[in-house]
Amino acid sequence: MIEAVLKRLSEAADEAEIFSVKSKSTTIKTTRSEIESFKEKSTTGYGVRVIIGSKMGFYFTNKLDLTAAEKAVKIAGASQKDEFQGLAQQMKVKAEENTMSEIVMTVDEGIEMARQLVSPAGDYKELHATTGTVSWSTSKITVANTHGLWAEKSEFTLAAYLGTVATGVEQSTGFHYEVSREKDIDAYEVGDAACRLASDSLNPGPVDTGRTRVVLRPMAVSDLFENTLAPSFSADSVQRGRSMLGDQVGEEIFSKLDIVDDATLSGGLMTEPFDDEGVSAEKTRLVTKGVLKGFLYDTYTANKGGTVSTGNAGRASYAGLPGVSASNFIVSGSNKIEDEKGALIVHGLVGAHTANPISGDFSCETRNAFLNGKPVKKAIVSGNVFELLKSGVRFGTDVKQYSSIRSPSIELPDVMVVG
Amino acid sequence: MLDGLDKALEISARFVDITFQERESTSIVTKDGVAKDISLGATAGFGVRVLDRIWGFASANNPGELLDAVGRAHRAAQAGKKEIAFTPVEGPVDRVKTPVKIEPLDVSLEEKIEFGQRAYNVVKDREHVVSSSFTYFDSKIKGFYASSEGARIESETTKVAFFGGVFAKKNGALQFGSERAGATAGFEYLKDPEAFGVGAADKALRLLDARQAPSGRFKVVLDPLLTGVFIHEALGHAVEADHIIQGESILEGRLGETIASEQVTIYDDPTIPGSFGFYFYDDEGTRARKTMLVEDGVLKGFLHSRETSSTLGRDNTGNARAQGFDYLPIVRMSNTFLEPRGQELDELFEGIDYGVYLLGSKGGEVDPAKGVFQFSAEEGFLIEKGEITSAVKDVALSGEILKILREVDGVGRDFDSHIGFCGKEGQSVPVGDGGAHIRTTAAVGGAG
Repeated sequence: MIEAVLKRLSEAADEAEIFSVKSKSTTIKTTRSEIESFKEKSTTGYGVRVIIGSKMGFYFTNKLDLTAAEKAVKIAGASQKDEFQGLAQQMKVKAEENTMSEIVMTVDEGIEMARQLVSPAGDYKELHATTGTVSWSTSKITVANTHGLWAEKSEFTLAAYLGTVATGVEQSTGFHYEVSREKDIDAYEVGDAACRLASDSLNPGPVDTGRTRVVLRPMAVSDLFENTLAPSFSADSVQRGRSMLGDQVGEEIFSKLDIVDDATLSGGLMTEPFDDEGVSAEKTRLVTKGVLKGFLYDTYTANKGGTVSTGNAGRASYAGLPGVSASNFIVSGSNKIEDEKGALIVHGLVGAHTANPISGDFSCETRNAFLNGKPVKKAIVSGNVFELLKSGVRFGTDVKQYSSIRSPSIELPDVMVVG
Repeated sequence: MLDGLDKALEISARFVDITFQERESTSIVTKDGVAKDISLGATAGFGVRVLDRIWGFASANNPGELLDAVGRAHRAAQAGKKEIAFTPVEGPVDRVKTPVKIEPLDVSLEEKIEFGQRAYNVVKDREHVVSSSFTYFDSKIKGFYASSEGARIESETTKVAFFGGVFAKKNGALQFGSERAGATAGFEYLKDPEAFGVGAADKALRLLDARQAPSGRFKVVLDPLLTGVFIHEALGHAVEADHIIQGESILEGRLGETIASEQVTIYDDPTIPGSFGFYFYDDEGTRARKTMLVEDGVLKGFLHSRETSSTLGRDNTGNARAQGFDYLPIVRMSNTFLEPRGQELDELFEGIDYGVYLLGSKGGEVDPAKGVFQFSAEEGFLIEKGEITSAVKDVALSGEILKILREVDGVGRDFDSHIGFCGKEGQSVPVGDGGAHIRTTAAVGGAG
């Protein structure tokens, strides 16, 4: 059907594209260590994008037919002109490299993982598991357009999550999760990490208000950078005057650290042969030794900026238009953390989504914070991410990836903490 | 409506329900004055829930797969063994429809585009404004709910919303202001797009001149919109009965206890006509109703689904909601409001030697088991000797549920509410938050 619709659209439109998803996902949910529900979801969806006279129209549906194509054309007619609208040209990678091997996971394997996930909770006193999930999905994605581009890929994703509550004088909580593109998650370890966090956080003490050294564990780094740092590297933000980094290419913006966006990284959570417009995956240097090197582009922003796409078009689903999005956003640096004594160790941030994605200012309650091995009851950390990365940043060796941010622990020398 | 429906509902299980939905939506994004991202869509699908040894669930887009999906859900319901309490009820038969004066689907795209244009026109020439986005949104969901207990509910739900964001730059500082509004209603609800533009631009410009907020424990006055997110985070999630059952709410076992100052009355109410969190029936066929959560400081109730109310032996409050046909319903808030009392705004400022007046919500998050929550304001002002002085920005507050509600020592007489989307366990549902101006004490984290 994709061919037939594209054929019709090649007559009716200057350019046209179909993004198709067929996916099956399974989720096993546990409550208080028992399996509560077992869910299977299958989805078929299409996004049809057409460009006629620099005007774009988009229509999404579960059923691809010529009516869907006509609707997209009609929407383009009502839309407003933007000379930079455009679709990706032919793919650079060979067709046989486009298909990843399909990983199959059985129901019994999933149930066994769920059992493993909750089993450590029984080994801790005064602790219980709350919600746990084991979920996996297989998606087949096709991007095809009237420039002759045809790209297909299969994606497998597996995730395990467990929440825990430990009860002492007061309650403390923990959670941990792992996501992988392979069938290689140790569910017992995920469960145990969640139990340890809650257990270690029992009987917390206060922390003084003031400026101090803070070490963010990888999950906290991800919470923070996803919401304050990464958006500024989008060419869309830059072109629309919404990025603090817009006019600083070639300048030293940070302390000696490197940021690379690399969709080709082996083992990365966002690794893919091509992006959601069918543009080949790439490695893009964003910051090298503290110096700003460039930004992330999709086809539209590349047209607008007179450059080529870096393969960073992403869609939330088949129902969404593509926009610039990071793939594996890798942060690293050579200055190593020497001694964590005296530093506030922070595992996660509460409410990081309320930080300022433009200015980089944040003010977040901490989740599972520790000082000299002792848990801290309550601490807000606040500051400006662009300022904090300017000097004295140190890096751990515990590299982990959560969503797009891949980083080790990061030490920031001077952060405001409110106890 | 669905081939094989009767057969699907007759399988030998404790309980079966099926949700079928057809959804049409429109989204128009006007970026820097150009309505270039116009997206329309029509999607459909169904979800089958089977209760046997555990909950089994299967969803698909093609209605022809119904019997196959029922079979899968039935098998899935054997994948564990748990004693799930689920008291039978008599399924309602009804047909309900959002009152709509102007059907959004009957309004031309040109007219909807004009909405964003008008908002853009009032911000484009403002000094320091560098960029703007305005998004028009409408959706219509035709639903059909059927259960093995005889429920047959046909529904039609229409929502409209408008979002605006304006970015401003001055002396290297970059800020943005946003506005949003929405309703469970037709196109008639959206009026005066110019006010969105002006409101968002004014906020962005005020923030350009604002200082970083101070950090520490202060007296704070919250405007009604921030009060809304405050009670949503500080109380709402902790009274969701699934949290209570899982031993992850600090309010477990405290029904009847005084947990807040006597000026605090909080309720959840999905029946308010037009509200963003409005519904006639929840997503397992329970009639919507108002639920008193805190009355004069006393914890009165929890929010329930059929399963949680059966488990705890309480009345079902009809708060089981799902993001769509392809999700299992879980306990959610609808519109969560704090009831106004008698104080004027200047009375709330009175006697505050040094504090912060905070306005607008950027959202928040709570850890209901630990009882600690965080929420952020769009903007703020210092209160010095009872008077409002300089503007401050990027202010987050945090507090402990059992402490901060008791420290509310003033509630205003005004009322306003906000629309939002609340996320829980990977599902997002439309909600309303609101209340009056209140005064309390909180830990304030400024970036300064």
